[in-house]
Amino acid sequence: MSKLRKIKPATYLLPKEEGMLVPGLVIATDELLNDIEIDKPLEQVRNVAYLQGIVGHSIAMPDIHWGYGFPIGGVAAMDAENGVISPGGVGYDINCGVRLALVPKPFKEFSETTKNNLLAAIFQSVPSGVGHSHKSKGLTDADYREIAEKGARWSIQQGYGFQEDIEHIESRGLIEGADIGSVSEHAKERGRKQLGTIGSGNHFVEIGEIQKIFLPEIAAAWDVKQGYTYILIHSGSRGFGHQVCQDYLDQFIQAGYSKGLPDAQLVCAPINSTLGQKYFAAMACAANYAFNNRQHILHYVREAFLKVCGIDPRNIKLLYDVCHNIAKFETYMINGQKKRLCVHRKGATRAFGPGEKELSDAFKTTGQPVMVPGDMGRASHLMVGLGNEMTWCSSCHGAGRAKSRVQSMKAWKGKDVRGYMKDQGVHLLAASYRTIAEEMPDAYKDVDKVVEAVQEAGLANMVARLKPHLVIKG
Amino acid sequence: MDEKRLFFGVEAHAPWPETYPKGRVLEESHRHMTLAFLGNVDFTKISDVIPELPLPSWKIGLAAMFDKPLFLPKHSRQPRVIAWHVAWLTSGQPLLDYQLQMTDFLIKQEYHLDKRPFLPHVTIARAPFYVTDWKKHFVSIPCFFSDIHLYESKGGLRYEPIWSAKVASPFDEIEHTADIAFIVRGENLAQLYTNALLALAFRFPLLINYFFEASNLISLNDIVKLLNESVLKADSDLGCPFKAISYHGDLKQSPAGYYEWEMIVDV
Repeated sequence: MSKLRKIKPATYLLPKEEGMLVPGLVIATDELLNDIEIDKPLEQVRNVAYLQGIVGHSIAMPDIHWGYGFPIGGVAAMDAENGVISPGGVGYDINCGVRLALVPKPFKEFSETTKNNLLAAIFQSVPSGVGHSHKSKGLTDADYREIAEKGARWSIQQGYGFQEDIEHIESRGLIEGADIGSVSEHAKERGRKQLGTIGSGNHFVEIGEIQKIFLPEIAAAWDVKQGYTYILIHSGSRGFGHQVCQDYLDQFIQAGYSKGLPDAQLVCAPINSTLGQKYFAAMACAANYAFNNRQHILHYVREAFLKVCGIDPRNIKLLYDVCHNIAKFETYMINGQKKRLCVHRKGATRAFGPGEKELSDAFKTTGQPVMVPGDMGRASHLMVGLGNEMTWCSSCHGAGRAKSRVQSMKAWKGKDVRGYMKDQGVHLLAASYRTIAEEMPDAYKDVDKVVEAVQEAGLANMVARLKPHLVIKG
Repeated sequence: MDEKRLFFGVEAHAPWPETYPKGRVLEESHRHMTLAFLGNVDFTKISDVIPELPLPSWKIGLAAMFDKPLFLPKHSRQPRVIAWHVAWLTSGQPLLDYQLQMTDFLIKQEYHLDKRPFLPHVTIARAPFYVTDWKKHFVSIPCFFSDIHLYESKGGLRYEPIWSAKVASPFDEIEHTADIAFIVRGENLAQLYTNALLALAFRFPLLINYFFEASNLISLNDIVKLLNESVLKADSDLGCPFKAISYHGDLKQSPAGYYEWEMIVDV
């Protein structure tokens, strides 16, 4: 911490030390830095700066915490010509991400009975927790091929969602370059019956109320109205993505790519190597699987709203879907020259600003929506990207844990966690007591402070604060 | 004479079930594996003997699983005790040898001990109970055995240690901002793997059925790979709360002479 030097509002420089190819950059306010255990994650920021071809800075977001090799809440861009790609820089849950949909009805207009029925209906139709999958026959190899090639469009063709959804998904729900031939049978086996499931850990489906608007013009452009109902979905590529990551970590290590690195989990291969390209092709498959997973989950939630509240699924509009564990090729101007970079975002969200070519028309003039889930009690946030190239147009992805799972479990052991949450205005269903205890609001940093830091640093602006009321946890 | 009802035993640890069928169930902290039952004996005499007692050869608690229920005495039409049978994950020979060594030692000290073949088990409950209910309720769970104690039977299914020989725990769950983390201990790579899987199985008991024989382990990476195979298999078969074990950390030599490894697990 003592080595950090404040260079701009909510922006600290971690000066280059021996072995680091670039300096580190930490986005945080003084208050956040004082509150978090920063030394271990900073060591990881430093380690990432060793990686071949890294450009700019090794970056940490205000929700940074210790990860595998790379910190969670980390961003690193590698020169696409001579840099490396790292499975640990993407994370196990490839394309873990968040999607936000808007329901055309004020939350307070739902009766208590309706809310309970809605929660129960979603809990029933969206499997959550360990070992819960759909009873269907599962994905065939042909399905996997199509998912890899078409991304989220595959689900829409199967009747899960609407054509217009596509324009409201990062990269239109498709990471190009996917090749199912790069994915192991084990990975396919793990993912076969998991499409449309939340999983365990910190994944969730949340229904709540848009509590406060900060930027009325942007909110109006996106049809985000105070008091109205929102749906927030947090899930990723499930066992499929985890196995892809694991398979390539094993292969990279076996190929000797971890030699000389300060941490084996940082293992990386040159982007242009055969193994590097195969990893990218497999990672893209997992990313496309995750887009489909969230597409299916939203479909089931829309169905629940139809069944319980009579709301036409077509009227529940997908606002946006973002990835926060991904490596993507993006082009930036560096020293007056266009450079293609492989941007690793691990626990970080792309935050393109207005005018960005890749954005759909709905967001070209406003900038990209950035969703920041907080905790299941206090709040989540909707922000708008500012396209700040200092962080390769990246922002934070959540509140970040403040307590370990063990600490949280100990603190809540034997207590009525559901009752406590109910007192906070949150009805909760979860596959296990342990999950709830480990995910209690005080296990997380205050998301309000995290998004304030992001805004102060000029990465994204706050658009709306979202208050959860109905939560399904994995 | 300061007479007490005493026995030597090993402390048992397991992710015990939260509920049980009807029966007089022992409190978790009182569960143990009896090594040598002394009966009502003079405490002063045993206190004099204890400094000479052979100590266990192992430094780290021994990993095992409960693989079946036992109703004791065996073949009785009205068993009085429900116990769970212990199946060792790796060789239980050190403990079996130690039990014999301890028995021989105590016999030499003129204690009258039961000479029936040693049956590794932990008593869970006493009569009255229904055998069928307990059979139906039983599920294999992992366990380990750590400190050796001289226990005093206080009556009412309460057993209190009055002397102890400490043995390190095979693992400890530690606080970590990562998903979950453990310090795992082992005297060699094979034991490190066993104890790592044991740690995971304490969180998700069904994982104990995915214990593989560890052979040809030459580095920490091999352990991580093998553990991930267990996770993969369990996740494919029944869903597993763990997604992967990270290639993280180094083997450290503890002052007590065994390896320690910080295992980080993604959930």
